[in-house]
Amino acid sequence: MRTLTKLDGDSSRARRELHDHIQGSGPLARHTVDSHGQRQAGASSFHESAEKHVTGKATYIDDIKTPQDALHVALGLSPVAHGTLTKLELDAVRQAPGVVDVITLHDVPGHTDIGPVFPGDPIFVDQEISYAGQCLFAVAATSLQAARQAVKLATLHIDEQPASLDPVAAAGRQEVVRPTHVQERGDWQTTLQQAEQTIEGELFIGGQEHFYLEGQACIVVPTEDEGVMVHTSNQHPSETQKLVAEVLGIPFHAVTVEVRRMGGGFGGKETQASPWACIAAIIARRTGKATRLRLPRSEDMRATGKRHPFHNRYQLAIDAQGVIKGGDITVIGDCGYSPDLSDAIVDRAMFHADNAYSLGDARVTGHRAKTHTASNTAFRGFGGPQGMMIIEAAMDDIARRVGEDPLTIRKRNFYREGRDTTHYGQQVDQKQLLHTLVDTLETSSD
Amino acid sequence: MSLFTLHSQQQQRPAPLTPERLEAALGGNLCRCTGYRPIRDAALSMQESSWKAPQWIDASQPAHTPLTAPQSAEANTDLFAQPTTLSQLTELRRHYPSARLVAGATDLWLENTQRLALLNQLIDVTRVDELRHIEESIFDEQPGWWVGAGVTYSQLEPLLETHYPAFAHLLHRLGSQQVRNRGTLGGNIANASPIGDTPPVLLALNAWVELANQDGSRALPLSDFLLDYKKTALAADEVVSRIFIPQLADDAVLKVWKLSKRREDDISAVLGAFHYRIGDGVMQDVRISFGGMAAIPKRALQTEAALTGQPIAKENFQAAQRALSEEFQPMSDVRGTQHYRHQVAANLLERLYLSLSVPNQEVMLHAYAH
Repeated sequence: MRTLTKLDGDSSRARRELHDHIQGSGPLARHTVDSHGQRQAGASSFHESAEKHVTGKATYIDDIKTPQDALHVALGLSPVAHGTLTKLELDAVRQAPGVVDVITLHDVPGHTDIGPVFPGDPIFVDQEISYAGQCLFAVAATSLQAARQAVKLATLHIDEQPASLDPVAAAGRQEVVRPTHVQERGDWQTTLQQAEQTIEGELFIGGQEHFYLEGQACIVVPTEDEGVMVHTSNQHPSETQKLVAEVLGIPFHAVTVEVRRMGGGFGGKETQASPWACIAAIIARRTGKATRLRLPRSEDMRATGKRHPFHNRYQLAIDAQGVIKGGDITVIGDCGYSPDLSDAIVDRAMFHADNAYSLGDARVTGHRAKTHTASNTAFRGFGGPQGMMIIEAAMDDIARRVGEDPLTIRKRNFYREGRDTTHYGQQVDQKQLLHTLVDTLETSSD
Repeated sequence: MSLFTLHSQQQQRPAPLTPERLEAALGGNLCRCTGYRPIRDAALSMQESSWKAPQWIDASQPAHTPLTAPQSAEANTDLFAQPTTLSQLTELRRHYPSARLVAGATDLWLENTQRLALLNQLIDVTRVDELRHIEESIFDEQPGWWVGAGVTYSQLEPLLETHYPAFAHLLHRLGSQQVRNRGTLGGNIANASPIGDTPPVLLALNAWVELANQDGSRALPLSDFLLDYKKTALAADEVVSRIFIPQLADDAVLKVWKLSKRREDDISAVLGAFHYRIGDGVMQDVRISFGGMAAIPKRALQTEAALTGQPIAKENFQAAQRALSEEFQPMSDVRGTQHYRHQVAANLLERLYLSLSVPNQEVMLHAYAH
């Protein structure tokens, strides 16, 4: 959104726009700035597409018109969580009514690994199946119904193996998608040993489906010079441009990615919108036809990752007043089968394991557990909430132990003068804000 | 998240917008961006400002021109027909025995979207005049109402609110308002789902079903209509045309309790419906039925027998609980294990006992308690 923070007094146009705004009319009426060009807190303004949203005129990906001969893609997904794909029989699929193209890993012209930061996300399964819902093949047909019907005709030969679904056990076996990180400050072992008292606990935080309103969807139109135009509901279009180019083996400049409207993302379309664009792009280039790929909601939920579930535990040294002197916190993120963004997400959980409280001499360990589920991914907070929850649970446990109000315990443990260095070594400034904010809330709340 | 349901709710039954009506209209919506409170506040504050339709609003209504079936079509060709009379409907039914009848499509569409059924022959019953009326009448010597099979849950609500408050209360837990605006009583019955929410209640009320074909109609008790899992007494050339709901006797009581994982917009794990009268210190006219406890919604006849003619005493309800555990063998599925279903059905009898043994104490669990 444009915000008028600096207005040139000589600009008649700017003055007129500002006047229009203050009068509540004109093209900038939605902006919430006052006559000094400052943003007004608490003022409400219309979303720029509000009228289109409520009248159904907003164009989401699946509303975009395509030529009569556009193809519709349906995906063959693994029914098992772990196993080896020994044979994929697709003749019946190819011969099904309306089917125009069927592709597997062997039909990918360029890169087959589309891991966003680290490798580990094959565009289609080669042999090893890593989660239920992993993509085995794709079918393009003249209608979505025909494509979905054809998918059912595939014969899958899978040597199924036991699935690893417990992140704590996986971390214990050192089955991780990325190496474990440790943040340490001070002699936390001695602090724990010499503590007046110690307290410990653990908690589990479940995952969460993003439930973006428009599911994963894209339309890829072949353009001249072996290029593609990609319309996608996508939080990271530049990464999709890179991956589509690499998968097709064409220069980046031959790939145009447009995101007109998100339809909801919440992190679920940061890395996990790209695979569908890559698959549709391959088919669009092979067939020369506009190609639509929209995951039905039930398949979207199976194929894409969610918020990371976490298993966290703590052991803290506290004094008689419930002030933390030091401790040891472990967070285990259930990352699913591949790294995706998990390295940064588990780091974020570790960075937030203190929330607003000084841990003293402390160690925070973060494991990136590998399990046979969809690769868990970005979701609002990006690991932060999962990290904060362990120390907030600890605050309540301490309050119960020392028999004081949980808010009192929290206030005692806030970062303050002399207790202002985090477990990862950052000096906390503006500490007074915490105290002022909470004091104000305490006196002004019902 | 949209307020379209609220819009249509206010158009169809204009009334002051109470928090309860608003919450009903918001049910079935999932907000992922803002949170529900500001949406609720905004909707409630609409009443304070006078409504002026913005210029961009298209207030025109869609034109409805019913599609009639082609006269000489083959019985196996694609079909979409919208008959407007019962006789047109039964003629189509006879000519296209494998066509699917569709009213609200709240269940049928799942066959297409989830199971990829083609559904290439559809007869839309929503425009059939005879199916759309509610008529006060006497049938089988009982006063009551004939309800057209195409009457939606929302259209049924005023009748239920006046005469069967417990049934009306159940409606708030049946789907969302969008679903209740579409789904029909006839569809819920003909669908013959083991966990359909209205059939157990209708069984406890001794309801009848009228079936029509080209030659006329016949009526049979709902308990004789539901035969087995997804099987009914409906012949290939018949349609469900009306349902007779007998009026409650002055001293009769109906209680309906639904158990599901979520309060709103969820399928029952178990639903219990209880009808009885207390006369001469004993329970009479006891009719108890359950959904989710067998392949079809079913009367608990042994359980009823254990209570009929008995005073309200703990040992009688314990005997009823034993009878209940013997006469049903529910299945285990995602909504509950067999053990869970046995336990909660017995608990509903316990709830009934508690509500009867504490006089003048209404046990009606509102809001999140159920």
